[in-house]
Amino acid sequence: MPHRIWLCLLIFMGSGCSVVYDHRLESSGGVLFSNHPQEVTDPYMNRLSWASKGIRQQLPLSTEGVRPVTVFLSGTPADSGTVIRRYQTGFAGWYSSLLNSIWLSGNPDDDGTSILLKSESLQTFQHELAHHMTSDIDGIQRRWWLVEGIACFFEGGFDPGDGGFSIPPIHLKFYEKCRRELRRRGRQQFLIDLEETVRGNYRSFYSTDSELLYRYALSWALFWHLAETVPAESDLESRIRAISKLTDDQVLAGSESLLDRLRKSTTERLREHLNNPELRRWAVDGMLTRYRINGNDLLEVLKLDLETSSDPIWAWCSVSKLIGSRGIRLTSSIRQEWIGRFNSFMTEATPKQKITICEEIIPGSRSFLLTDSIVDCLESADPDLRVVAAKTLASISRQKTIVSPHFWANGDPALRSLEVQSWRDYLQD
Amino acid sequence: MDIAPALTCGSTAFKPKSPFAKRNLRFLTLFLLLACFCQAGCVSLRSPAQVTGENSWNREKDVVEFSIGLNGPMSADEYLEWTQRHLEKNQLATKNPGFPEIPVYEVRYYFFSRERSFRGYLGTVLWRRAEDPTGNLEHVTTIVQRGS
Repeated sequence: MPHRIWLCLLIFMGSGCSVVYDHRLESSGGVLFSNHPQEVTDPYMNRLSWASKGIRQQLPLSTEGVRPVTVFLSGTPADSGTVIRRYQTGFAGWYSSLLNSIWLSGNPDDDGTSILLKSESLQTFQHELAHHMTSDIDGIQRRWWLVEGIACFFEGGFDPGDGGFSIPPIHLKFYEKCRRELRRRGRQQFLIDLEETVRGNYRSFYSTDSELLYRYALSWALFWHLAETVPAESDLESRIRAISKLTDDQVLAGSESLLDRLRKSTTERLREHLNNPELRRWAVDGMLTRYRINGNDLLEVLKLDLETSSDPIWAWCSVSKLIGSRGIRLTSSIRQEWIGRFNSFMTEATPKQKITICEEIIPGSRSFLLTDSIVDCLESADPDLRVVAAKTLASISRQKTIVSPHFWANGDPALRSLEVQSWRDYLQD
Repeated sequence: MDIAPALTCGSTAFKPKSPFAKRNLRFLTLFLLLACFCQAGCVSLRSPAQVTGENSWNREKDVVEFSIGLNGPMSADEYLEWTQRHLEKNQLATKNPGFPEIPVYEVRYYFFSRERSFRGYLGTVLWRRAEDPTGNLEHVTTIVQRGS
C-alpha cells in the first residue's frame, strides 16, 4: 500500500503537477502552481521574488545552496459557487523540506473575494518561504522554537520604500501577544512557558491547542532577544549562527532579561522609529493600527516623507487613513487643512494612483470627509477607476449608489452622468 | 395477559384487538412517541422560512439584501435551493424592488435563527450578476455556521 502512495506521489510530482493545476508560473524564487486567476497569483509571484531575494541578501552564506521552491496555491477560487464553513480554517500554509515545497490553501472570503489576497495570507506565505530559505542553517534542525522564531522574524520583512527588504525592530503581533500574556499569567508562569517552548518536542510544540499562537510568539520573542544580545559579529547571519550553537540552558539563561525588554509599550516602540527614514513607513503603518494616537505628529512625519520620497502614494494612502480613522486624534483645523491637500493631490494624481488610494480608504468611520474627491473619480476616463470609486463610495457614505462594475465600466454614459449628478446634488445638500 | 393502558383517551383505556398489537404494544407505544418527536423535529426544521427584513441597511441601489428567520439551521444545499426559489418567485433577475429602473447586481441572503434559545446568525448566500453575455444571476458563495 505505501508503495502505491509513493507511486501516485511520484506521478503527481513528475507530471509537473499540471494534471491538477491549470497554471504554472515561474520566477527566480521558484515555481507556482495554481487554479486561481492572475489577480490572485500575481501578488504571490511578486512576494516570492522579492522575499527570496531579500532573505538571500540578509543570509548570503546560509542560503547559498537553497534551491528554488515549488509553491502550490490551492483552495477554491472565488466566485465558484463554493460553500464556506465559518468554523473551518480560512487560510493555511505548510512547508515541507522533504518535498521542497510550500502548500497554501484558502477559501473565498465572506464577500466572495479570495482570502488569498489578504495581507495576512501573504504574510503567512512569507513565513513559509522563510522556513525554506533558512532550512539549511546548521543547528536549527528539530529545534522547533528556533525554526519558528527565525521564520516569524523574517515574516515581518517589509519594503522600506526603495524596493529593499528590511526587518522591523519588533513583530507587532507577537510583541503584543507576549506583553499581554505576561500581564495575564505573571512572570513566573511566563518563564515556565518559555522553558516548555524551548524544551518541547515536535508533538508538544505543534499541538493544535489554543496556545499555538502563544508558542510562536514566545519563539519569536526569544529569537528577537537573543539576536540583540548574543555576542557575535554585527551582521544578522553571524548572530543566527551563534544562536543556533547555544544549548537550551544557555538560551533560557537570558529569559529574565527578555522580560525586561518587554516592558515598553508597542506605541512607545513604534514612536522611537518615526524619524528613522528606513523604518518610518513601518512605524507609521503600525501607529495607524493603534487607538488614541496623536495624529498631528504622524502628519508631520508624512509631510517629511512627501518631501523626501519620489513615490507619494504610500504617504497619501496614510493621510486618507488618518483622516478617516476615529481612533486617531486630530485637531479640527489640521484635519481640514489636510483634507484640502488631499483633494488637491487627487486632482493631479494618475488614474493608477487614484485606484490605489481608493482601495486603501477605510470603510465607514470619518472617511466620508473624502467623498468629494472620490465622486470626481466617477467621471474619470479610466473604467477601472470608476468601478473602484463606486465601490469605495458605497463603503464610506450613507448615500445609496450603484456599484455594478459592468455599469461603471461599460454602462450607458448618459445613465452614468445621471448617477454622478445625484451624487453632486447630495454633496450640495 | 393484561395490557398496560399506556395510551388512554379520557378515562377509557385503549385496548388493541390484533394479536400483533397486543404482543408489541410497549414497542408500538415507544415507536409512536419517537415518531411524534421526530415529526416535531422535522417540522421545526422544515417550517417555512420567513423573510424578516429587506433592503434596509445596505448602501447600494443595485444590491438587494434579505434577512430570513429560520427555526433552525439547514444544510448548505437547502439554503441554496431556498434562495433560488426566492429569486425566481420574486423575479429578482429582472426586477429591483427598491429601484425599479436599476437592474439588480447582487442579492445577499442572511439567515438568522428565530429560536428563543439561540437567535444567532446561521449563514449567508450570495448571488451576483455574471459578467458574461447571459448576464444571469449566479451563485457566488454560501457561508454556513457550525451546525449547518
